[in-house]
Amino acid sequence: MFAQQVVNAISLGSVYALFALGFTLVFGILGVINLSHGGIFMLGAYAALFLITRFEIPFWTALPLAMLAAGLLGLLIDVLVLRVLRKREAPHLMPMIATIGAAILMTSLSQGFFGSETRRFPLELFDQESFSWGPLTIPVLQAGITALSVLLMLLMIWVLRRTRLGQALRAVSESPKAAALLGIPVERLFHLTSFAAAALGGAAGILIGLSFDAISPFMGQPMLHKGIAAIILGGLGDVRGAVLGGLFLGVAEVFAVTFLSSEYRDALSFGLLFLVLLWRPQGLFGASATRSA
Amino acid sequence: MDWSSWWETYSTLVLSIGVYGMLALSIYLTLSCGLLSLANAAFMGIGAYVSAIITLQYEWPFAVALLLGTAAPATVALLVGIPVLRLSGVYLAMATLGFGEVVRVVLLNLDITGGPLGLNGIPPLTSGWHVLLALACTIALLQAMRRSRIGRAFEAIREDETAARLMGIATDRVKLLAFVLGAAIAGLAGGLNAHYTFTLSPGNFGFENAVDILTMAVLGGIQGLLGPLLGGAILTLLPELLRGLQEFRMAANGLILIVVVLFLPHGLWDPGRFRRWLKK
Amino acid sequence: MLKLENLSRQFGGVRALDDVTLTIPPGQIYGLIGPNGAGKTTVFNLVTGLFPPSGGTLEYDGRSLLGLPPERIALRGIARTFQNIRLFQEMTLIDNVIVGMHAHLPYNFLDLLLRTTRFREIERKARTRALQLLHRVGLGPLCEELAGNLSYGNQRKLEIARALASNPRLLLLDEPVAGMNATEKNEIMSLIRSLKQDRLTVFMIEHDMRFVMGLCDTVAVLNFGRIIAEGKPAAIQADPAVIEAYLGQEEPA
Repeated sequence: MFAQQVVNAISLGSVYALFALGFTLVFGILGVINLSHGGIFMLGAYAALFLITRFEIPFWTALPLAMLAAGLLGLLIDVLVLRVLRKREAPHLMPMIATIGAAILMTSLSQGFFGSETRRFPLELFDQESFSWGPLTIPVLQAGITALSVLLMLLMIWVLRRTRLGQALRAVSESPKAAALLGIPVERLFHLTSFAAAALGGAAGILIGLSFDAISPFMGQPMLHKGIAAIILGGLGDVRGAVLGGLFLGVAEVFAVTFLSSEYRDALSFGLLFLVLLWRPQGLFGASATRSA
Repeated sequence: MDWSSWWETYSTLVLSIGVYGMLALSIYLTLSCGLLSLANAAFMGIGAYVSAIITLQYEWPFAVALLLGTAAPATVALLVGIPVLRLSGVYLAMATLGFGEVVRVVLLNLDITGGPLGLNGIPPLTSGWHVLLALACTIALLQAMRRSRIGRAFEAIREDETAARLMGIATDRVKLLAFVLGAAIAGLAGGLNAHYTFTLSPGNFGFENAVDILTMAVLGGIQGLLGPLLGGAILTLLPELLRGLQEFRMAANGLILIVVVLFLPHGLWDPGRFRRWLKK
Repeated sequence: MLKLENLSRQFGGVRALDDVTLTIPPGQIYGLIGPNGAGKTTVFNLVTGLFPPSGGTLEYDGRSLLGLPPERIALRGIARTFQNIRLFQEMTLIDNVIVGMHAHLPYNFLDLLLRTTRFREIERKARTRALQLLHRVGLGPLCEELAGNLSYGNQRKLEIARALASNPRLLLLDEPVAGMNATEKNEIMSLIRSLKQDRLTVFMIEHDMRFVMGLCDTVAVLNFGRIIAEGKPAAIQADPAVIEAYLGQEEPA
């Protein structure tokens, strides 16, 4: 029973971590809390749903296409909104307010166009088998979701840690001005970051849509809240912290439902966030206030 | 159309313009110190529930209900504000967002608040002059503060908190004042609102409402008291004007936030811009 | 008046200030000079409580300043200006100066709510005094302009007026004439002299040697976080350690 819960917790936590990774990346590099990340997450799920149901595209093709769509949406927000505010050197709350607007806009438009009802991925797509391992029963779908989010995270972290691109991004996150002096195309990296973060957010949307078997216009907001909690737990802008924060949150939620009551599950992430902000605003896992990517 | 039937049709709308004007002024208080607090919907909710429970279950006088509906969120704001206001910028916004969610979930799960069903059959006690008086008092209070050392301290903190401290301004206390007073005004508005809508549910006080309130102040601008009032009135009337587009009501809010931030950073009511126009 | 004893401050592993001991006697104009990056502004930041020292003591009027937040230190009678001007750009000149008086407007909440005679009297006096201060620094005619619209030199003057508004007994000036032309420098010089006549103590960081040497009673030299010399201006100019510190540096402006 306990081991089974651990498996569930890791599975949920890894998707949270994937969502939080993109979210924190934008903060680390652009210095912006992009509150439209939840909307992108939701639209990523819808994009995959439509590709699969309307155009009958197989899942493994639909997934990258939906990620691409989510990424382009993130890029669009960066170009139309965030870039303008950067140019103007607007006070740091301005981008936050603007992305709240974008989030509300996305939710409301989806509600208008797609309807408020909950949709589902066609289940026949997937193997309904489970495999057993000792006392554990792990559905293949759950294992696949976890594996996929871990894979995407590792890919992202590898790019940040081991490639020249990652090096340039780290320089930008330290100081965009200094990076520009070194000849790094800062503006293009901002666009790229927005794109990549949104693609990861969209992927998280698809995976959550699969694992809860539900897609609705309202799925973005609670996820955004969890993402905020995860990146604050981990320390704003810290990639490793966001991953750990997401996992931690998944574990905390699963065990809160098991041992406490499910009513307070949604308050848990914010209760945690609240306490961490008061006690250690730099996050549980962040070594210091300095941003690291 | 004679007066009484006009009032019958539009009273809720008119009262809402006043109540949302107060809410916009409540967030104006914190914004004018440069603080983005997203807790005002929650404070409104606390005020609404407290006063509704008092008239509904204890049947105490309306005035007492409103008084406690103002005092309760102010007390909560005082307790929450002391630790939370040490945070600044995005951290404060996140913490207040979190606080709002916690309040919503608590309202959703308590027995006394009626859980997810909320409260129904709240007595219709709010009349036009109540709202008018409350709004007038709020405006008088804020206007008096604006033209005093407190108003100047708000502005100084918004522009440069460190410099403000070096001028001898106890910024912690000034910010706490703005936060608590904002909570009190939001609570009073919530109490008034509950007694003409007759029902309350936790969903009325979530993130969307926090954004609603923020949109009013951002749209109107925070260069003076007229800005938030104007923003509150526009956003209250907008759904009436866009009747056919009910489902896209929030979309309009979202679009307004983006457009105002991009093209009208000071909001609609911007005396500085008017002066520049006159000079030209 | 102000006593710094063995004051140190580290940033990360870097020692920005190392065992700084200085005494600023009352009524003097005291200059602190040194090459760029020597840690001069750090001294001011420690004195005004912007961050705590890593070690050492700070005494003002015989009482420690350690652990006091900036606003309390300001109330004890210390005011300052900034090297990188920190005015309230969107406020008028006169409001900038009245903000400087914030803690000295003794009306309570009820007074301001009811706009009592007391309130109106105090506000009127504040305005009058703010205008006097603006005239004193030569900005009287511009009193209703926005601070952000001022020229660089005038912004520095406004900062001094704002600092004086709190009626300080110790005034810290961080490069008061940086970026000013010769006429403006002379104006500031006579202003500071007149402050001395008003029995104000002035503690000043400045790069302009002629300005420092012509004005200060005592000068201390900071290099790599350490005090390397202290004395009368003439003695400092002849001090080999000081000349050594400035060698290889670009000519101080």
